[in-house]
Amino acid sequence: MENAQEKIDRILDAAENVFGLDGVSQTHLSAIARRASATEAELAELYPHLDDLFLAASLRWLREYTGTLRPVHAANENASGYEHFRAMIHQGISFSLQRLPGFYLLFSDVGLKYPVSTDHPSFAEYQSLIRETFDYAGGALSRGQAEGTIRSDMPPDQLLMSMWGGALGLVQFDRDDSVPRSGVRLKLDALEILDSLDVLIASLQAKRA
Amino acid sequence: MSAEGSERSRAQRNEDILSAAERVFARDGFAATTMEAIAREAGVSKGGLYRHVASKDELFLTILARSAGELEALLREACGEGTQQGYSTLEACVARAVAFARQSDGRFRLALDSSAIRDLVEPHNPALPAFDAAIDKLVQLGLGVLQRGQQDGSIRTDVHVHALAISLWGSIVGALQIERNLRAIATRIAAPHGGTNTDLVTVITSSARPARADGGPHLQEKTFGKRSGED
Repeated sequence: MENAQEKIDRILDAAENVFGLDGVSQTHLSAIARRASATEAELAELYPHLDDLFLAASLRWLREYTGTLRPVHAANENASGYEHFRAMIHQGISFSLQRLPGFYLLFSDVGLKYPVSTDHPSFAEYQSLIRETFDYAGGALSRGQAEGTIRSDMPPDQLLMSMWGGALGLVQFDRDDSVPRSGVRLKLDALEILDSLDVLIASLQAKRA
Repeated sequence: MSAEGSERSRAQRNEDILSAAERVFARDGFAATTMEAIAREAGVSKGGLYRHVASKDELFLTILARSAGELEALLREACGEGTQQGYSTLEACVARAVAFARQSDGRFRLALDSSAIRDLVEPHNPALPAFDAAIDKLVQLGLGVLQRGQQDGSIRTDVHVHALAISLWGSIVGALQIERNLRAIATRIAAPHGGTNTDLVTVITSSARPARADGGPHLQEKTFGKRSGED
């Protein structure tokens, strides 16, 4: 017999997948109900408003995500800022590649276009967890600039946004189903995506004299 | 009307239909777009629309191919053989591609859809080869610029040219998505991280610069994007 938590997980699994791949809107609620083998009434009973479901699915993913980032952050506090940053990005993207719909829901057009209510009771935790992930990466970048392992010709926020964009773009090669283009294979596996990210991350290194 | 005039009129009508379809696809997305909506936007009947195009798939592919052709023409201007070093040419190309994407939010959305094109359209659609050819030309152009830079020493050679192309292309697409959502990002994470505009060209393109003298960590033998046995 399914308990209440299992039912919630089943619905949030469905929400993460449908929202993350198809977008966040009322019209997707029926698809979520179908995927979760639930009725729309059951969905509405647990999550009366779209915000409730969006934030619940996002928060569940974010809690797990930050849970895997924290030990990596702790283990790299004495490494160089560059190595610290690289370790955080690798951990974040490795987790994301296994839970891609949630990654899209949090960090791509799909979720960012959704006008989440900032006065929702869950918004503060949502904002705090996203902020935490950015602070790990931003902190490593700032430290790397201060110690000279990361280029300092641009502010850390700017470098961080560019790396986020790079990661987002490269992760999408996981689902690219295109045929090879002029011999270039556009469908990459997880290791190749991480290698690709390394090419970009390496551009952060401070140039040695 | 003369045969020539009739041909011109038909070509103009075709152009009107393509423009209308592009607006509808950009507004509604591929899945939600209907031929009725395109016919309405173009001011023709549905039957009239089908006299010009066979299917929604064909229209979509034709629009994407046309857009890729426009981008290729712009890039050829910026990336011509010239005397510039490969890296400078790459900067000019990336700047031109970013400007092209920034011009039209809807068109950028369509381009994002195109990465999963074979999930969206029927596999033997007659417009698919022209679309593939248009994308291939863009890729060849990019590879040519990167190879030129590798030959003149202005672009790194420790990463295979295919891997560099993938890294740059992915980064541009992703960074543009971030740029389009800066306001939402600022709301979600609060300033200062969210409030900064990205200098896409400088940061992304610099990943193609030659590596440090010692090669830098983690960057040996990157050959993905190229199957073993390929040249």
